[in-house]
Amino acid sequence: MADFTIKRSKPKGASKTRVLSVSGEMTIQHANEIKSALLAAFAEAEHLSLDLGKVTEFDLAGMQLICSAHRAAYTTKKEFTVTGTGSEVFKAAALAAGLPRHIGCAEDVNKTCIWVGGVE
Amino acid sequence: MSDQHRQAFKEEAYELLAELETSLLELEEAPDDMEVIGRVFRAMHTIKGSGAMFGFDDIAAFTHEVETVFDQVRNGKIAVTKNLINLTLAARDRIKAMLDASDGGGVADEAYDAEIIAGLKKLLPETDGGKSGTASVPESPLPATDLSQDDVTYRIRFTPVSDIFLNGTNPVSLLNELRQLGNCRIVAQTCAIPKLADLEPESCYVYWDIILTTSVGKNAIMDVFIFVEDDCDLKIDVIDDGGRLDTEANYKKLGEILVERGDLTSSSMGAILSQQKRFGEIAIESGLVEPDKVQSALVEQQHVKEIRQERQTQDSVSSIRVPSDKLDILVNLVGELVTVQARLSETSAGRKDPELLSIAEEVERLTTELRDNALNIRMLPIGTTFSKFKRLVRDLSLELGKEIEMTTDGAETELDKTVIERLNDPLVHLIRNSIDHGIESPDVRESTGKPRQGTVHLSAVHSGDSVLITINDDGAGLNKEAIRAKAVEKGLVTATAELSEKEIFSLIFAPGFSTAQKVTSVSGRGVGMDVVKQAIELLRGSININSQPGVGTTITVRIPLTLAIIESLLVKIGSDCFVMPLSLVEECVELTNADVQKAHGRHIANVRGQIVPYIPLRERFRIKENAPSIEQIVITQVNNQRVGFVVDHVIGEHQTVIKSLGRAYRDVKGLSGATILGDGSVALILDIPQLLHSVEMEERAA
Repeated sequence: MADFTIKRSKPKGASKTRVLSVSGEMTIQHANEIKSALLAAFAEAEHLSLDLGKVTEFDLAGMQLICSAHRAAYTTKKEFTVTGTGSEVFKAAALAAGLPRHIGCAEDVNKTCIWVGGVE
Repeated sequence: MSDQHRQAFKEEAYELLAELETSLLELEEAPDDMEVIGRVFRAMHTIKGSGAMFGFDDIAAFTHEVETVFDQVRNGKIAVTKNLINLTLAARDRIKAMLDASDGGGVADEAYDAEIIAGLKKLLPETDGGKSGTASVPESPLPATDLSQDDVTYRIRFTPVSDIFLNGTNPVSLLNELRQLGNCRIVAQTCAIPKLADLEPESCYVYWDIILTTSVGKNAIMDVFIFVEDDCDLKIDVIDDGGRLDTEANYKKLGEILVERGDLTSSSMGAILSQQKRFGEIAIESGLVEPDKVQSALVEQQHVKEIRQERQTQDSVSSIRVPSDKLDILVNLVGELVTVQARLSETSAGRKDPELLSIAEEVERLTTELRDNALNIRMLPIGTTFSKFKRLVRDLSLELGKEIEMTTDGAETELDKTVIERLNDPLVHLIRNSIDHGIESPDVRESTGKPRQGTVHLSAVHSGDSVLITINDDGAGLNKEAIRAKAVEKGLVTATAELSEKEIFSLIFAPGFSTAQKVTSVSGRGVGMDVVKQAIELLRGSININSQPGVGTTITVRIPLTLAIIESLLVKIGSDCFVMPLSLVEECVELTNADVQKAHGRHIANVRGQIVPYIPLRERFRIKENAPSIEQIVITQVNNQRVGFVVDHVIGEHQTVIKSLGRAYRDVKGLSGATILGDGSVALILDIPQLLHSVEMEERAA
């Protein structure tokens, strides 16, 4: 639990882009923290990339955050991408919660829902 | 909860426990069989689930502990060991005892329960794998979830309250539990998740639609949610009851599913549908197909649907559960009917009215069929009893330090339910005897060149109107000298008596006879074999022993198929009718006054050069009227002895419906019941072995 961190970085040559990497447990204990970090990053960027590659555990609260961020992004016409979703931890957690699906939710007009297809 | 439901649960639980026992014993032989492990787990799970539903909280709590262990076994975390099987069998007995106790309000032995649970818990691995987490998830349904006929598909909508996380519940672990129940598709509904700014990160916004195909029943599903009952909205519907036909295709239309789920109102579905034309209409409009061809296709479609529906309803009533006392009533009524029918036949024969005669014949035919069918319903395979014995052998051999294997044969042989029930105790006794007296200890066996493991073979086979049950062991065999010595000591025979092998063997059925050197908890207290013999004779059966020293003993029990109706021989003494079971009768010969005089007052007849002792029933029953000059001897075969019974007339074969004698006559020796004859009079059923026995006792006393 001690090694939970959220790092915000700015890739070179893309001033409007922010990368947020989470490592450790993306669970309810840190949900508030992650939410604030996401909000802060959205406030100053047009494109936010969330890197989950170093997350060691997900719970439903954590995954709910991803959905919520995605929703926030397309309502504010900002770009939101998620990377590092190839990990076993992520796949297993998504599968367990029954998140993988064929079509995204009603608001997912740009078809960018991360649960569609891919995970399975 | 109504008593009826509790009763239904108990019936189900008893069945599950029996199944559990069989599975456990099977598992002992094949510890790696995942299917059997799955069966054990499911039985436990169902007992737990429905137990909790119907207020058997003690059972639910106790079973839960055992189930937890088996969950680990199923996940390959614990191996199946003899210890585990022992403990689980003990646990199974405790569950049964709790069920029994729920009737009489007996007290459960909590200390013993705790002991079993402690034993089971020791088997659990150190790190508790049950911690709910998102780390490990069974990828796909378990191997145990093959599509069996009992599989039912449920639609479950699970909507947790938003603060469910704060209560410490992880909804995902509930989903994982559901996955264990069967083939499961889970779709999380995320549309309620708000934008980041509005998100309350510690609330749950997700709900789930779950399609689950499982054989465990709705109760087991509800059970998964038992701890969050108040914290969620749960809707469980059956959407497919396991008919094989409709798995092919033709499931509900999309619109219907949406309406059923409550995601679309039926009026709005109607609105959407009205915008769309039917395929038939489109086809006709396009001019490619003629209207009447479409019509005919529609008829076909309708027809197939109807047939499927019909078949489905047939499937669902293919078997029903009926309390056995209802069957008893049915058989009793059929018995009455047989009696009345006999009377009808007799009356119509006297009237010489051809029309009445043909009706009577028709009734007779139908009655016979009805009788056979009714008796057939009560038939059960004897296998259920056999599996109980497997358990017995297992426990006893552990207790006595012997290595014994039990093999069975003919478990599918059918016998009347009552007979099977009443056969249980005598068979238990016989098997105990084989194990205790027959099979030697492993070392002794080895020294005589036999395999260390002894075998007790139990088999059942039909033979005419009876069933032969044999118990065969490869033990030491009966010790003729010991039996004889003991019999002399007990004063059963004189020291100089010449006894055949059969006679010696039959001595062990004498009351108070036991040759065991030491009394064990299993047998040797001298109550036993005589009780066994009595019980078997009460069932109108017989028992026979064959034994070879050093090779083994075979005990054969012959039992009539049914107790309710027997084929018998109707005889007459004076003005009274009596009935003898036909299965015992060998032949009938005449007895003239001259024959009696030739025998010089001894009751012995010469039948084709063979001496046959007889019992004059007229004397025995003190019937005053004078005997006719020519009497009849009905020669019977009892315990391998030919014995005659003298009566006035032999009337003929008779279908006898057995009625038990009233309470007042219960202790009358020599009669096993009564029956009502066609003319309404009562005939007593003679208990041939008992009659013979009492005469023998009197002779000995004289």
